Amino acid sequence: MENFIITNTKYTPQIELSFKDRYLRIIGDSYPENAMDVYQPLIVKLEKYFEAPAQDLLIEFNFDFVSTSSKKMLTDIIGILQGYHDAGHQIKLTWFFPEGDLDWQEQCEMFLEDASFNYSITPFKD
Amino acid sequence: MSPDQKDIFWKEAELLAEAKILLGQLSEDGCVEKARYAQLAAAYEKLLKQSSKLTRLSDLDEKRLNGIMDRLSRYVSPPLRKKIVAGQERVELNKTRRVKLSIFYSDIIDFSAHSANMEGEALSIILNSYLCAMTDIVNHFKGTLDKYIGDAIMVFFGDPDFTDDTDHAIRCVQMALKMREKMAELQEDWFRLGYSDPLHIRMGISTGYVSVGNFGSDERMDYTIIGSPVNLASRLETAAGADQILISHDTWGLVKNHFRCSEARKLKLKGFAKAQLAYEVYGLADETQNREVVIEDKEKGLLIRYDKSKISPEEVAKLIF
Repeated sequence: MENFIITNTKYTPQIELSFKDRYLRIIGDSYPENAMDVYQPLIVKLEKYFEAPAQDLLIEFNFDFVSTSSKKMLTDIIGILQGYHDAGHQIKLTWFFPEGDLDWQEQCEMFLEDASFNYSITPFKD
Repeated sequence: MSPDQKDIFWKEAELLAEAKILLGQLSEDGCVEKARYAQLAAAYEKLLKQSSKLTRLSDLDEKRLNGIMDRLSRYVSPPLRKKIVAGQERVELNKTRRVKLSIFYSDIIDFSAHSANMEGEALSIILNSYLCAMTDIVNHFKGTLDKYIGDAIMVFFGDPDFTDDTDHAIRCVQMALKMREKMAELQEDWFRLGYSDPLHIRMGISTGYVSVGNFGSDERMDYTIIGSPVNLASRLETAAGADQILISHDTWGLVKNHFRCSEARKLKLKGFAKAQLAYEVYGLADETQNREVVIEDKEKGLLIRYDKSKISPEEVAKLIF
């Protein structure tokens, strides 16, 4: 399966799902006109990715600004990932936030409060 | 509904449709399959959790946004911030307006020379306490703080909040007088901090038509003003002496009944081909009528100004003769 890449724009993040190297990266701003256009193709690709049994996936999130509709889609994606984890797949998520930005940190914690897969919320320096 | 229909709530809509079907079945045979009901209840529970999470995330966003607005607001004047927040100010170039404003410039005389003798921290304390105090006064009189240029301050009246030309000019001069008064208080504070050299400000005010709007590039722009009255205010400030307020003829025309001013003086100013008429502002008309006495004869080079609440004419005469 070929890698899935959506190049970032001023309003959308860079999305990379590598089937070969088994990672997913979403990096940048996310305030698209229609969040479905950005994230639904990824959800479809994730379904393909987890068709194989006992897959593992290393995930990296690093957002600057996330619109409400993007948040809705991210909440869906985290729920979907939780489902794959419950089905026996290995998931490890690192969510980066700007060091000292306590609001962002709290948001990350809120996103992941129901997740039982392996995750960390990690500060980074600009 | 399906993902193709591009609605982020398509799953929730499907859930609702299913619930309606179930309700329809209930009305036909009076009972509902327990497993389907449990499935639906679980889906609703998930939905409630998600809605609650999104609401909390949204609240956090608002808090974050307010924090950002608060920090950003320190870089723009309160009237301009109000206008931007209300969506009345379009952030675009080449949309300037021609308006009549009263413009104010001030700076601390020889501040560069003073600062050369100060420690970095002392310099920062003095400059920031000065700018904080002056900015409070600008805000009190509802001026638009255009910019700080080192120790210099540029303010204008009449945009974005327009009242009338006279009111703009009066508030501008009132602000200048208050600033001069405040300098005396600050002087005492700085003396207590160990800085004994007195600092003095000079101020220039002019009134006239300028272009107001966004100037700069798409990436970085300033909401500011350009035009001859801006240069005139700046030049009057440079021409002013210690703690002096010089106003242009246009400003004087608007405020002469409200303030006690000197006779007209002709000044040769850089950038102006013709000599400009300027007036020194002594104080509020009421206040000066009660307290201030000015004896001026330009031809004889005479200028006597005293506060009659503090010194009698006899004492003044004794000092002179």
